[in-house]
Parts: sequence; C-alpha cells; structure tokens
Amino acid sequence: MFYIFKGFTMSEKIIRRIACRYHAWMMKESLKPPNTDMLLDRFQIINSYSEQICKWINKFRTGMSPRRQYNPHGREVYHGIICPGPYTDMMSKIIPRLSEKMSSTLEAAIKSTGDILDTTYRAVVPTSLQDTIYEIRAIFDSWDKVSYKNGILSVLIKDVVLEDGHQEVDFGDFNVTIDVSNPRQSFLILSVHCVESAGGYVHPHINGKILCTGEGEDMIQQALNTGRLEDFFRIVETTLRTYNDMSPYEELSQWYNPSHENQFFCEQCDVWRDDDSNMWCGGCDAEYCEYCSDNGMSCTSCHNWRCQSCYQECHMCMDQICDDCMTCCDHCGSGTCGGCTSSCVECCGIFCDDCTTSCHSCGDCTCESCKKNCDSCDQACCTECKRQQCDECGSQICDACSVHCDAHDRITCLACIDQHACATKKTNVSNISTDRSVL
Amino acid sequence: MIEVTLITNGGSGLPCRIPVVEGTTLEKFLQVSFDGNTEDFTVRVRANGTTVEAHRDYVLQDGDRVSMAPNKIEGANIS
Repeated sequence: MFYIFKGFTMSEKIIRRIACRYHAWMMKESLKPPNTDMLLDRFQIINSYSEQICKWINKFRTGMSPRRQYNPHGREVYHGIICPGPYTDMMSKIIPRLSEKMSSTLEAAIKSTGDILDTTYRAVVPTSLQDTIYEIRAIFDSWDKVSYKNGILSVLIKDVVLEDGHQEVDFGDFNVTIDVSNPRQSFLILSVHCVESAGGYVHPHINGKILCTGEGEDMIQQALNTGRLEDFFRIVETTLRTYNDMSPYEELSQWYNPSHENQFFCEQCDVWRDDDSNMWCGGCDAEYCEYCSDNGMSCTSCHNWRCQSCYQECHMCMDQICDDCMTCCDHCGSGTCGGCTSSCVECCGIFCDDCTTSCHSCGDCTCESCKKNCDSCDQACCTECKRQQCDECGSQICDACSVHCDAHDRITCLACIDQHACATKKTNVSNISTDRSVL
Repeated sequence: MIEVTLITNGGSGLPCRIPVVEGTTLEKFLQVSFDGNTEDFTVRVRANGTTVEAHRDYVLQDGDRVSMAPNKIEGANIS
C-alpha cells in the first residue's frame, strides 16, 4: 500500500507516514483469527448454562403432568417432582417467569461473551486512516518533543517527580518509545537523566527499560487495540507520574536517603521511619514504630520493652515477662517469673511454686524428687529437719515428731513412746528435748 | 439528535457512540453518561480531528470524541 504526501509540510508528512504504518499494522492484526482456546472455554460455559436451563424446565414440566402408575402392590403412585392438585395453579404461574429469568441470564452470558470476543479475542479493532492521522497529529500537538526514526515513535515525558509523603524525588525526563509497526511488543522507557537509586533503578516501577504497568496494563492494551495511540502515551505518562508505595521495585526512600541516616526500619510495617519514634526490643534487636509498638509490653520484672515475640506470660501469676527474666521449671518445664520460682534446698534446682513443697518445720523448699515426708505426721520436711530416727521402729521422723529421752539418750517417735517401758523416759516425756546437738 | 463518542479507558475499551440532544454541554453529558467521579479523570475532547479545550460549558458537536483518562494509575513490580 503506497501513500503519496505531495503538498504537505515535513511534519505532516511524518505524521502521515507514522499513521500509515500504524494503520497497516491494525488492518493486518484485525484479520487474524481470535484465540480459539479461550473461545472454546466460553462456548462450553454457555452450553452448560443452556443444558441446565433445559433440564430445570423439563423437570418442572414433568412435575406439572405426573404420570400415574401402579406399583407391584397394586397401589396408585405418581411420578414427577410436583404432585398434582393444589400446586398445579402455582406452578403454572411460576414456570413462565422462571423460563424468562433463565433465558435472560443466558442472554446476558452470551452478550458478555460477545463483548469479550470483540475486545480480547479479536486482535485489533481498527480505526480509519483519517482517524489514525488525527491520533498521531494529537500526539505531536500534546507533547513538545516527539520524534520518529526507523519506525520507532518516541515521546519525551518531561519532569517526572514523585513523592512519598516524606520527600520529593525529581527523576528528570523519560523517553517512551514504541514500534508503530508492532506496538504489541513491549514499549521501552529510557531515562534521560538516569537518576538512579541505591539499587540501580531509574524509577520505582521501571526495571531496566520495562515499565511494570500494574493498573494501566489493560488500559494500554485496549488503547493499542483500538487505535488510540495518544491515549497510550497518556496512560504511560500517568503511570510514570504515580508512585505506588505498596509495590515498587525500589522504595522512593532509596533515592533520597539510601543510607537511611536518622531512620530505622519498622519490622511490623516494613517502612523506614524517623529515629525519634522507635521502640527497640532488647530480645531480638528489632525496632518498631509508634504505630506498631502497641503489640509489645514492658517486662514486669526488668521493665524493659519487648515485642510480642519476646515476652511470655508467667505460668503462675500471668505477668508479662521477657525471655531474659523467664525461668523454666526443672520439673514441669513451664515458664515462670522470679517471684513464682523457688530453689530446692537439696538439689539446688529451680522449680515453679507448683513443683516445690515447703518444709513444715523450717519453711525451706524442696522439689518433688527431694521431698521427704515425716513417717509420723506425713508432712513434708527437708532432709535437715527429717534426720531423726526412732530407736524403736526405725522410722524417719521430723524434729517435731521426735521425743528424746535424756536419761537413756534414746529417740522415739510419738507412736512408740508408750512402748518404752522406761518409766524414766515416760517421766521425761514432758521434758522433750529437741536439742539437735545431742546427736 | 447528534452522536458523541465516549471513551472511558475502562471496561472493554471500545468507544461508545451515544446520541445526545443538540446543545448538550460537556458537563451535562458526563453527568448522564459517565458513572464515576469526573474529578479523578482528565477529560479531553477531540472535534474535527483536533483537540479542543474541554471546559465544562463546551457545547458538544456531532462527531465529537470525549476521552477520559484516570489522573492516577499505579504501576507495580512484576512479583
């Protein structure tokens, strides 16, 4: 196809040349068949809709006219979903409405499939050559620097400035280039001033020369498919001028504060924040901003602030204790604070209050393993206090349960004291000596 | 009645030809035909192949094309 541009200015010739090349591409693409795989999927969905509708309509019709039969026992039975009688009038009104509703649903499904066919599955919806010329002319009118060389149309987007609420970053100018003979290929973004981040990115949403269009992807494809090249450049420009702080290749702060001086990185919200608002966890060395520090608490014991991961509740008193102040019971393994922990006087192990017993004589704590019960009163006592042995029965008794006969220098328990036939001892019962030094 | 083309850069992306009464202003047209907040969009009008100033009181002509593009389009990273 040849176009003759006699009588036009140089710029008008270029516009027409670009328009002709782009128009030729649209015409070629529009002749391509649509993607048959996706077409098949849509038709299968429509088919299944139709089948379901037919099935339900048949069921209702069957219910409307039940078949009378006789079972082997000679009884009359009806086949059909709906029994006759009072339901007949109701179904005669419902079925037409249901049919209409299902038909309209099917119709809407078919229409939406048609829309999709027009836009997604068809390669391109071409415009006229005149409209394409208008489109290209509008590009030259809208931007100051538009160039065309070797089939590549290039538009200069000037002064791209982004801000993230803290500071602005001026990225300078970007050249958006597209091959008008094949616009479906990735268009390229070339940074003129190369304002790079610490990681070497020239823009938060550009990797190399490729712009990740995000929300603009569908709009760009639609614009290219429908011959709206000016809209394409507008959409790309808007994307370059919008900072998405949720999903950049590189955060904006990597341009103005790559070393993050006077800032800290909040572990919770993954954002660099100013130094004067941080809470530091001594357990894991992480820092949290004032908005995220609510989850942390101060240790009841040492009063240092800890994040949620670095404190626990005391098994006994439920106080919030940091990992440093938490003690693990040697018997049951539960974590307790210092106030709920005791040391066994026998083995010197650390135990929670549930796993220790106090000697009823001296009050010292012993663990379950070291605990000794007095054979006489059966109360817990430590080894120190349970070191008397009854000379009569040999039982191990505590000082409180032992009786010492001064005359015979014998120790008996309270149970055996009457067995001693020594009257002197009996006399001495009232003079119980508990002087341990005797032993 | 005249026909005006509306492109919203959304949905199917296809231009919609909308019949309007002669003398309809751009503001009135958008109130009726566009379901959204026009403040979030940049509106451009192309008449006879050239872009005209799209002020609210612009009276639409037959064959005009009204194009709307969002003021903010968020890019992303591929992951």
